[in-house]
Amino acid sequence: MASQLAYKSRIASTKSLAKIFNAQEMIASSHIAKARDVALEAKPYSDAISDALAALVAHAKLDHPIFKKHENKPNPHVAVLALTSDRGMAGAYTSSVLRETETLLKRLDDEGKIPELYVYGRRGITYYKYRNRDIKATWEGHTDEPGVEIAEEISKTLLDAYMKPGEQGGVSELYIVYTEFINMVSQKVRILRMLPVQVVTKEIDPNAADAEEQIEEARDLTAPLYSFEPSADEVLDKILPKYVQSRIHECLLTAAASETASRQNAMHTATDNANNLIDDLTRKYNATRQASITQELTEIIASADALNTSEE
Amino acid sequence: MAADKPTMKVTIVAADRPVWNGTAYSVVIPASAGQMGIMPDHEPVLTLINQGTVRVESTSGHAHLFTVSDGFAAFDSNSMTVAVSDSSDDEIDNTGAAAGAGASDAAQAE
Repeated sequence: MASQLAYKSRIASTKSLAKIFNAQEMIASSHIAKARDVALEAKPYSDAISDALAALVAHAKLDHPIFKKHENKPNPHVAVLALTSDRGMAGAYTSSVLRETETLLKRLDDEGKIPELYVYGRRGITYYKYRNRDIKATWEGHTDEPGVEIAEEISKTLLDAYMKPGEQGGVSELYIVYTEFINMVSQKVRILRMLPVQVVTKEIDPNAADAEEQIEEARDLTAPLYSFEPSADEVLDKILPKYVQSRIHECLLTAAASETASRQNAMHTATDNANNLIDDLTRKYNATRQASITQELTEIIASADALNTSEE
Repeated sequence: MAADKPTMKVTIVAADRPVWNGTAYSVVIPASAGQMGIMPDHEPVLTLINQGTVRVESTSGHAHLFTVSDGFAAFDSNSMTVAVSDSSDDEIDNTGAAAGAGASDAAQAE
């Protein structure tokens, strides 16, 4: 059995850890409300862009490279962006993202593609640097409150890489691995194929006999006949990069909310565990103290007994 | 007040926040081909906008000015959406016609 002193010092250190965990939990829970607000604030803009895009899709020709890349020969290079966190103490947040990313990279490899890695968040960067992996570009320092600027920077870099032809080191697809915020207790890692953009309106099978009719019908359904200034194609050219940026921003925001929620959960569990540990250690400490008192008493009684017997 | 004057809904959003929304008599936007005025019952239009100033004649009698960066504006069924990357906060311009409307507001209050 360990000494009383050892127990005392372990209790003290666990107590100070519990205090840190508790503080982290409180910080995370105050951030989560803010993260949710930020996500809500950005929603009207992304809605406006999605609406505009839906109107455009019905009227413009969809041969923009963002929908379908035209290349002379297939380009095996694809970009993968992993959204991790800057700081630890967020439970399995970063490791789940990294695990999904590894699976995705392996899958792409098996498909004969050459994935190029882009990492967001210090944790992810350290992970891949340590393993000497090639990283194309990294961003860090904003994972718990991503602003528009960082979204702009990321989408610019990735769109540049996408728009470049394959011979000049361009990529043909872009995947994003991020954590979706479902609610406070559940967040799910998702893989999104961001580029080429899949048009989210009704699917029309071009081989179906009534494909033409279906397209006409879809056109009638989708909102008013806008007049476009300067022209539908030019508007599309300008709006698509903004659409991509706003989708990336959305991913960053939901990832930030997930990070905070997962940090809060992890810190809550850690605080509970630390408190249990303290209870357990205190019990053991009391037992050792009691044992030493009992031992002393036995010794005193025994020695007194011995003295009495020798006097007789 | 001219209660029977047609109005339209206006929403101005920046990338990170909604900036303003309300009802208005007319809106002037810095469209790609130059200043473009939009009044209620305009045909549906989707236009790019350049850096410049959006002027909203709101039903409260004030003219609101917003300095915006590039983006686009969409108008249909009397609802106008201006989506820009960045926008200044709403500034109230009490010069010109707006001042007159403001005065009529004051007169009505009496």
